[in-house]
Amino acid sequence: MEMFLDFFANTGFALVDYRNLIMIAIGVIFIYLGIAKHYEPLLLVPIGFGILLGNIPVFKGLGLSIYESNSVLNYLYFGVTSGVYPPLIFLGIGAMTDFSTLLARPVLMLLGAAAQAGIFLTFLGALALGFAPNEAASIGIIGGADGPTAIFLTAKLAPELIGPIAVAAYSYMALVPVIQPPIMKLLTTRKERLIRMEEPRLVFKREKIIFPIVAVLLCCFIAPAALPLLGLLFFGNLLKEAIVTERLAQAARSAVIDTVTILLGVTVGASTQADVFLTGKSIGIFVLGALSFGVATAAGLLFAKLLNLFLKTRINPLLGAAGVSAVPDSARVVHMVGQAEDPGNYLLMHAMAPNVSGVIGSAVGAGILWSFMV
Amino acid sequence: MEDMDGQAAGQLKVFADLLPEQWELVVPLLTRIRVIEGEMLIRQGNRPDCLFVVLKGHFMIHRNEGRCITVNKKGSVLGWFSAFSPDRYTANVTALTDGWVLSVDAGTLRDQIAADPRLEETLLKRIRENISERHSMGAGGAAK
Amino acid sequence: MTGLEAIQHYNGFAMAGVGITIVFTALVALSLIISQLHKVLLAWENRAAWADAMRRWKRGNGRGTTEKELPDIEAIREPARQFHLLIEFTGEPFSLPVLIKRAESRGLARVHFTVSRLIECHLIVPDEDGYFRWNHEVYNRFSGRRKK
Repeated sequence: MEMFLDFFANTGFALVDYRNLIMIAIGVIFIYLGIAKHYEPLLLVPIGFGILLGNIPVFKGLGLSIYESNSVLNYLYFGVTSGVYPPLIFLGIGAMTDFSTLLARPVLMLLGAAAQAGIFLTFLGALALGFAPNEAASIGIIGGADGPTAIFLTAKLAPELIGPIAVAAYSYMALVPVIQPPIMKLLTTRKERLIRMEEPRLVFKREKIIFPIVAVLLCCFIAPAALPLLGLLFFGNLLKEAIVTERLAQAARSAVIDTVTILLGVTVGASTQADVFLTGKSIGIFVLGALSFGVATAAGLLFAKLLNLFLKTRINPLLGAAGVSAVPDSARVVHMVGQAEDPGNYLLMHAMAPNVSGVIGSAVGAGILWSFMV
Repeated sequence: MEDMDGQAAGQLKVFADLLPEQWELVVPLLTRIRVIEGEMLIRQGNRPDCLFVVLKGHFMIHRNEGRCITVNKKGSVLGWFSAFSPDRYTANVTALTDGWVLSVDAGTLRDQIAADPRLEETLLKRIRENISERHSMGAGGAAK
Repeated sequence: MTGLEAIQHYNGFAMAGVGITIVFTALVALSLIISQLHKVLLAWENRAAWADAMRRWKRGNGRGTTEKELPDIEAIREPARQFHLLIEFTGEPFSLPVLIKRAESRGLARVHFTVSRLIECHLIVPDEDGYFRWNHEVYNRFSGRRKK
């Protein structure tokens, strides 16, 4: 009987507290949203399952918890804390991304830059709420709507906040179709939403091959700290466009990115142990994260309206919302909101331009914040 | 027939030998259709519901195993087999460029051919010429 | 420390201002470069024609003679190079539908139309078995390369 009681004292049933149960419920909700509602399933399912793994109460000292230095999860988590996984994900994203629409209308790149205002305004907001500058920078980057970038910067600046920041970033990315449309409708008139975009010009293959080389040199000369992310993003894109490296591009956009997404999702989820995650700071991070997303969307929209004052051919200001770099979700949302007004208006292809420039912009923004803090 | 008068269609080589009364029967089966580059007009293995006569554009006739020929001559017939047999299409046809084709309702044409064997003879003669022309121009083996 | 005091203490306004300025600078510079990239490539592709036009302009024999021709040359030259590269990679003879699929999967633009143009220019020619070959002779002449 005594042995049984000893064994029972080491089981999850005896060690669990209400915070673990709250986190397990959150994990189940993530899995539900991913599977039943199709909200970013490739991210929410691994993260949700990771939350379950991280919140099964374990006896400290057995080397089971993600925060114990000799545990299996801790070894896998090294890819997060060292900032290895996010650049590998960028490699895959680069190998998947077609920059044609951006090359056809480079002016749309400015919308991706404008949306990054959300990062810096939230940075100020976080400072005002009493977060340390390194934490504020990590929170601000949520507004870039770029999960890997947020994790990368947080791993460098405030590793203790990786859990809440990653969960906030991915949650808001999954909620792009809910967060963005009201802001888009509020800040644009119906007439503006009806604007149709001109057909983009034909982009030659050679331009697409030269672009990643020019872009990596220029962006990383300006913001060298963006090198790990942008370096691999543009390398992946070069593999895609060069044709002769198709096998490598294929590996980057399938095996590499899928493997890293699994490891990143599960370990980030597992890092949200109740005692680390359920704190006042996390609530602040979630509130600021939502604010950051909203500000980024609004900044993109308003900048598009500003651009229209100077452009000969007006652009649909909804495209500004796609400057938030949640690829391709925010572009899809722009398309849907445009089609709600005019079913014949196809904005998806055009929205991909600010969308991918948002990826570049948020990586540059992360590099800048990192360099400010070191 | 939309946007094309019967006389113009009648001048197409494939219909040139039809007697006036045969032509009267064929005209209602014709529809002028616009095709877009990359559009698949015929899918190998599908039930043959129509055949097409090229008016304008460049088309690729290809089999699933990879062999193909291309045609761009006005009056070329695509999916001719369907005029004579309800078996499945034996090749795919894809438009390489935007263009126009004349679609012929194959089911009704087969009924008319069954009712008038001379119609079969006249059409088959022209179609045979059409196909041998393709081959003499260096086209490959997937000609149906 | 919270509020404006915290922002000022950590030099927040300066960091945010400089940060967003650098992001804008990087993306504006990149957009300026890529907006001119295709023009530079066009000029490079047709450097002989441009030089010729410049010479004639200098001699006062009229100018702009290449303006009308350039888009046509460019329209077929670049796709021809892409397909040549793709065919070198995949081997000959090749199946035309397979080539089209591969070109599409690599993101080449208007693949069907381009293949049609290449066939019309005799750069892609049929063999006797329903497969196709790249016409190296025409391509070398077309691209101005010497025959090996």
